[in-house]
Formats: sequence, structure tokens, C-alpha cells
Amino acid sequence: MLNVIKWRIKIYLNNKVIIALFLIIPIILTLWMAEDINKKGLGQMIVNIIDEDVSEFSKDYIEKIKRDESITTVQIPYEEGLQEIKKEKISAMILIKDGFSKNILEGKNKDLIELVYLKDNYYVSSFSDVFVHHYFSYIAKYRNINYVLSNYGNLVDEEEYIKKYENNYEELNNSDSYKYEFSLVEVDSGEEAYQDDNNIILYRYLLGIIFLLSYILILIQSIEFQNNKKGIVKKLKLSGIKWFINSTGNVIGTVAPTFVILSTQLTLVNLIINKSFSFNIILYTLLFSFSATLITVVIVKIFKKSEKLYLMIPYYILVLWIFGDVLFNLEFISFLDIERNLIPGIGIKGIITSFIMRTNIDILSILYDEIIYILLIIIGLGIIEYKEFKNAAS
Amino acid sequence: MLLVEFKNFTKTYTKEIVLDNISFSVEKGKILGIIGPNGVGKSTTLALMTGLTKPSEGNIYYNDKKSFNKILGFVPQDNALYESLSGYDNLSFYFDMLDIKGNKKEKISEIGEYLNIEKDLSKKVSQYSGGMKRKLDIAAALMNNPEILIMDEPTAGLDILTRNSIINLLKKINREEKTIVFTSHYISEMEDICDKIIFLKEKKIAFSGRKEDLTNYYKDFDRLEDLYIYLYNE
Amino acid sequence: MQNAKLIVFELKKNLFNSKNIAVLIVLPLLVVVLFNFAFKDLVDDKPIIKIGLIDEEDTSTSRYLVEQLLKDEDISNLINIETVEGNKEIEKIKNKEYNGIFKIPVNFTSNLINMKNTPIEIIYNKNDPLTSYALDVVTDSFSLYIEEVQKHISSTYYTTKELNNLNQYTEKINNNISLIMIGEVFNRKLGLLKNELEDIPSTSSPAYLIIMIEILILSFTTLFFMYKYKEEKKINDKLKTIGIKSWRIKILKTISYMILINLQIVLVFIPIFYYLTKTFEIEKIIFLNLIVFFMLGMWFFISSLIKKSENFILLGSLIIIFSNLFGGTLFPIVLMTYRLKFLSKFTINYWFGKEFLLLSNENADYSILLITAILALAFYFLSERGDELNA
Repeated sequence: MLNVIKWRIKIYLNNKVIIALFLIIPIILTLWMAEDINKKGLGQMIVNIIDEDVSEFSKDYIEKIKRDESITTVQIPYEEGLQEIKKEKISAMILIKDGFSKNILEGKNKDLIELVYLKDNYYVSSFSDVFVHHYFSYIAKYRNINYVLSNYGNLVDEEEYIKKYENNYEELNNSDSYKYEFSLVEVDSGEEAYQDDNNIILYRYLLGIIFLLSYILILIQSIEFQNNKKGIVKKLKLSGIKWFINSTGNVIGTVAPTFVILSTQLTLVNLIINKSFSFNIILYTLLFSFSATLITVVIVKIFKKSEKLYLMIPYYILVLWIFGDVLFNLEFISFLDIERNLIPGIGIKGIITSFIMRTNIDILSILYDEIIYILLIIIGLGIIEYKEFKNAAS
Repeated sequence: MLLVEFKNFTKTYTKEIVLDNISFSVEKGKILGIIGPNGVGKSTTLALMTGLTKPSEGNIYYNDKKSFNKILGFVPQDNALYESLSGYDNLSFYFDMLDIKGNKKEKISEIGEYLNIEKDLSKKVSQYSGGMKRKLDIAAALMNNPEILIMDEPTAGLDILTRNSIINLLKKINREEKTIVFTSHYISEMEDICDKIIFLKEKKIAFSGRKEDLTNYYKDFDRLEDLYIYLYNE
Repeated sequence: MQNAKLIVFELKKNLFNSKNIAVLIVLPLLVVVLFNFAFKDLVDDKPIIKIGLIDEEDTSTSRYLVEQLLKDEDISNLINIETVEGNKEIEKIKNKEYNGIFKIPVNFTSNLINMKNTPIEIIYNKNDPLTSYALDVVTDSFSLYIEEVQKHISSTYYTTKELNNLNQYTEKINNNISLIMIGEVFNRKLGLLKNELEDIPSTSSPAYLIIMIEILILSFTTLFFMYKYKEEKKINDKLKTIGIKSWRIKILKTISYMILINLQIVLVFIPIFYYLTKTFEIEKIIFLNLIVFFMLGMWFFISSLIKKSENFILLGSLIIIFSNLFGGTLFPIVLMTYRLKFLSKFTINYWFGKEFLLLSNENADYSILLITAILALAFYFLSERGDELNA
């Protein structure tokens, strides 16, 4: 058995280019995407600011924008800014309109700034609050002050009121006050949880790619191995090796390198993005590698012809991407009332959720969910391998 | 009369010489056999003859350069047939591609009869035996009544009876004044039908000449096969 | 005449083969339908996240707050919010009646004055990432404002309390100020003039989605045809020996494949595109044909470099996967950050998708079209050189 495993691993690692590609690309991608995932989806917005008002208020507003970590500012002329937006080199342009300070002082929230951006820029459009909240405070202040003064102005001295108001505001601003938080109650656990700071969709995308690539790697390895097996089965039979030893050894020999590659990648993701380490991830990866290998070997043995299998890869990917519960929740098939994963034996949904929500992976629960599928596949594979061995001489 | 003459040609693939300064000629109405170990350049020689590849150095002189393609029939080592179509459809395809004038059905029937495969033409090629496929491939090559038939290992992978039938077929074709050039691993076949044999060894011609010249040259050998083994172990 | 015969032969051979029909028509149809359903949620105009709103305070201020929440466009773009009776919230979420529940607690608005954080409770299904994401966006935006509003309401409160003449009006002032501030928060973007440049139409439109899927299908189909071409190498070699030049064979095959793919376009793409967008322009078909021409050229070139059929298919499949993973098909471009978009610009999917949108806007970027055509021709030319080297 050990020899079988040893040789299977050797053949696996023989294809150095493929191994290198599938090992390195997810790692590079993780490093590339880490920052965006840790920020809540804004990415970095590059914004051009043009000040048409040139007042104390507008200058203060520009300072606040500059201090905002999610925004990088540039100051270039309008026409140039337009061209840069169209070339997608900057995200947007803010024009602080002439009358900005006048309107604020009058408490009028009207014609304050113009935001220029490409219609397609989802982030600027959805996150335009980032530009608004920096001037909102002035509006709120003068609205409050103007309301009181316009209705009760005869009862107070304007200057005195404003001064006291500003002092009170300063005090409240400087006091050790908390940040306003919403209280989040998760239905599953019934416990309060804090919002995490990840861009969930990007995180799922990254994890999806990692799992997808490991599926393809196992598939390519299995196809190459199956190809090389022509005639070898006969020789193995003659050597006296038992079919189940050969079969088990081959499976283990495929699982081992896959496990090493995938667990490296997932551990790195956990370290870089979640900034934590969990042994359960290693255990889960072992389970995943095992069940993914089983399913893949069965598919390869059924379809046999390698060119057909390679041609099927893009469709295979589509099926995994859509049904593997990677990115989608598949509400459109919710009428089937399926609670578990659609791709059996893998438990991808569970692990992705654990990564995103930073909860512990419940290995036993995943195993329990998938055990029947795994057993069925083992039986199926056993039958196929037995027949292949038995018919080798014919 | 010379049909084709190869003069001092060399073929290199990415700086590696595959054929080195080869010269030989093909006479009209004769059968030329090219033999040599695996990888010596037999298929490359045929590829040069058919124009599938060009020599890196040297020249190939055709008797009538312009219409050389029209007088040539080629049978590659792996069958050039559409497996999912019938024998008839495959021949029909080549009839159209060769732009042959005349009645297609009649021509196909004639060739089928000539090669004794007519009754199987309606079946799909995937159902043919190895020998049948080879015969169909030859039939396709004969559609335009070529003057020269170039074949790459026509008997490879066939049982002895089928090989024998193919050799007899070549004899039959040659009796109609057709020139045949073929490569093979079976020296006995060459002994049987070739007028001239070329031995390729280490990218060069080890020997080229008539069968009789060979045996005269090396008098110590009873069989051509022994001579062949000697030449390659020398 | 010979040319026409070869094209007709190629068409007949492919159309009367059930496997080819499956690859040409049936599988693409399945892919399009599947994708449409799967991606609909992400690009649909109607929000699919349903949130229930419970007002436990039930004062004029909280009712006004609820009214504003229901009217707010930024919220309604992301989530579908409606008022609901306050009981059995968790069951309602477990039953999937609602994706989440907002609960405005008792004393919410009065505590705004006292800088006491009586938070709005959000109950939701933690395993539902879309809901989590949408709620993140909403709560992030609003928490910035609630803080400011609190400070200003409290400043008004303390100031009015400090001034003797205003003392007696404090409560009335605060009630009105609270209403004003709630209104200001929900109208906060009145002062923001959005100037959307429509040079490039939106990548979240159904038209864009369908074209990205079509590009995916075209890459599969062209790869499949190239596989067939490689399988027929011996036949093509034989044709070369009878005087039909390699480039002629390539062009004739290209024409045949393009005719077959246009059949696919007519039967699969056009009906679905029309159904989704109610428009149809001939320029789009011409552009799709240019894409097919480019892809065939690319595959011809790659196949001329790689002898073994298997290796070619593997490489081709990998190219398709990476192109679609990063180019905006398997993950919408609209959700990509700057850095991811940088990666996607290395894929052909990105450029073809972009050009398609520009075409839709009658704003075609002719440089993209020109480069595509030039590259395609270059591929054909280089594939000839590659074939010669490998001959």
C-alpha cells in the first residue's frame, strides 16, 4: 500500500507547472484581495475635488474628505477630471458649488455639492453617503440654530445662543462618547453579535475561487492518472496486488498533495484576513480533499476519454459555481426545500460561512451531514475499481 | 523516366537535424520502399515529398512541378477518415475535394469494386476493421487516378493475412503503371515488391539501390533481413 | 465550387450529428437559463431582501421615523421594507417570511436627546450573506448620521436648558427639533447633485449579463470546434497534399464554424436578449461575429503551438475559466473593487463586454474593434507559421 501511495504522489507532483499554478494563484489572489475584503467594500475611491465656493466651510469640508481613509483626493481641473473619470482612472469628482457656505448658514440643504461619476460605478453611487456625512454636521447645526432663533429669537441674544450651542457641541464631541451601534441579533445562535468588517461578497468570491481551483486540480490529476493507467492495470494484477489496496492507495495518494495545497491556502486566508489560526480548518480540508477526490475519480472512470473530460471542464466549473453554494443561495430552487449542500460530500457552504462569520468549524456536524453521500461514493468507486481489475485481462 | 528527384536536401526542426544531405530519385512506374528504425525520418521524407513540409536546405525536383499535387495520392499512417460517416460519404468527400469531373456514384462504385470493398461502403467507418479502413484510405487516395501513390506504413498494425492482401493490392496498382513510394518496418514486404529500397540510418541514406545490388554488395547474407540487421548494428 | 462544397460538407457533418447539436444548441440554452436565474438576484432592479419593521415606541416622532424609513430611496433600492406586528420575530425569520426585522425600541427618540444609546435592534439570519451585506450597507450609512443627530439635538437641549428665557419651551423645541432632524437625515442627500455620466451604460443591466454569458458560451463552442479541427488533422493533411493550402482550409473551416455559431446566436442568444431587453440591433450580431472570428483565430494560433490534442484542450479550458472568473461573468463587474477590476482588464471578456455596452449606447470604441480585428488576423497568420514549424 505504501508503495502505491508513494508512486501516486510522485505522479501527481510530476506535473510541476500545473501544481505551481494552482498553488500560487490562490495565494497571490488572497494577498491582492485581502485589503478590499477587510475594508467593507469601498475599496479605495480616488476623488477629484474642485472648490467653487472657496470659503471656511468648503475648506473645512475638503480637510474632512482628505482625512477620510477610504478616499484619496486629487486636485485637477474639471475637464481633465472628466477625462480621468471616463478612463476609469479616478472614481468621481466633487464640485463644491458656489453658494455652499451661504446655503449652510441659512440651514438650506440645497445645491451644495455636485458628484460626477460614471453611471456604472456602483461603489460611488451606493456609497455617496461618504461625501454627504462630512457636511451634514454643518447642516444639522444651522438647522437647529436657525429653528430656535427664527421661532424664539426675540427671547435670546443670537451671539450668546450660538456660542453656548457651539460649546455644548464641542463638549459632547470631545467627551468619551461611544460610536452608535445597532444591536444585531442572529437568528441561529440567538446571541448578540457584532458586525464583522468584511466585504462578505468578495470574501465568498475568493473562497469560491480557491475551492473551484482545487476541484479542477483534482480533476486534471485524475484524468492524467487515468490516462497513464492503460495497460498498467494488467501488470498490477499480475504482480498480485489486491484491487482494494491499489484503489485505496491511489485515493490516498491523490488526497495527500491536494490536502497539503488546499490547507496551506485556507490557513493563509484565515491568517491574512481573519488574522487567526484554526486547526479545524486543517481537519476540514482533509475531509474536503477526500470527498472531492472520491467524486472526481468516479466521474473520470465513468467518462474515460480524457479529451472529452477536458472539454467538459468549463461546464463542470459552471455547475460547481452555481450549485456548489459558493456565491449564490439559490433561492430560485428553494421550492425543493434543500437544507444541505447540493454538491454532496463537500460541505463548502459550512466552511465559507465559518470563515466569513469567524465562527468555529463544526467538523462533526459537516461529517454527519455528508457521511451517507461519502459512503455511497466509496461503494460506487469500489464496484468500478473491482470491475476494472477483474476485466483487466480481457 | 524520373518523376521526382531529391537533391542534397536537409531538414531541421528547431536546430536539430532530422535528415542530413539526402539525395535520391523516384522512377515512373516503379515501387520505392523506404526503411529504417523508428525516428530515423521516414515519415519526414514522405512529408517532404507530399509538400506537407519544406526542406531546410536543398531542392526537390518534380517532373512537372505545377501539377504535382494533381498526380499524387497520399495515404497517411493514421487513417484520414471521418469515423462518424460511412465509407461512401468519405469517398464522396474526397471526390468533391479533388474536384473530379464525372459521375460521383459511378466513380465510387468503380473504386469500391477495384478494392473489393463496395459492399461495405454503406457502413460507418467506425464499424470497419483495421484492414477495411486502410483499404478505404487507399481508395480515397486513388479517386483522382494519381500517377504516384505515397503511403506511410500501409501495413502497420494489421494481421498477416490483411498485410498480404494490401501488398497484393499494391502490386495490382503498380501493374497499371502507377508509381508507389511507401515506408515500412517489414523488410520481407520490401523484398517482395520493391524495385528500389532506401535504407535510412542516422539521418542519412545508408544504402540506396535495387534489391539485386544490395545482395550482390553483401554476399554473406542469405536474407535481406540479416543484411538489414547487420547494417544497423554496424 | 470546391470551397462551397467543403463548407456545405462541414455544415452537413455537424448538423446531422446529435453530439454537435447538443454542444451547439442544447447546452448553451441550459447555461443561459441557469445563469439567468442564478444571477437575477444580483442584478435585479427589485430588491429581494424583505425586512419587517416594528415600532415599539409608537410616538408621533417614531411614526414619522417609520414613515421616512419606508420612503427612503437608498434603503428601498437594497431592501424591501414594510411594517409588521411585533411578535414571533424569530419565527418569522426562520419561516423565511422576512430576511430580517428592525425593531425601534421604546424611548428611542427621547434617548436621542440624552445621548443614550438605545439601539435599533436588527434581527436577521446570519447565514444569509446577501441580507448581511445589505444590512451592513444600510446600518453603516445611518450610524454616521444618528451620531451627529444626537449631538446636535442634545446641544440644542442643553443650550435651551441653560438659557432662562427658553427653559419653558425645551420640550416643545426638542419635539420639533427631533422631527426636523429625522427629516434632515432622510433628506440628507438633497444637497447632493448626482451627475451620472452615461458614456458607459451600467454593467448591472440584464443586457450586460446576457452578453457576458454569451461570450462564455462562444468560448466553449469555438474551443469545441477547434478540438474537432485538431481531431481531423490527418484529413486536413491529406487535403494539403492534393493542393488545398492550409490557410484556405482554415478560412473555409472558419466560415463553416461561423455559420453554425450564428445558428446558435439566432436560436439561443437573440430570443433571450430580446425577451430581457425588448431591443435588438444588427450591430450586436456583427460584433458577436467579430468576437467569434477573434476566438477562432486565437484557438488556431494556440493549437498550432501545441501538438497534443489533450494539452490544447486543457490549456483552452483553463484560459476560458480564468477569463470568466475574473472578466465579469462568474462574478459581476459591478461588485468588483478597483483592484479586482485591474485584474479583469487582462481578460478578453472584460473588453468585449465593455465594447458591447458602448455599442448599446451608440458610443462604440472603434479602437477596441480595430484591435480585435487586427489581433484576429495576426492569430491566423501566426497559426500558419506555427503549423509550418510543427509540420
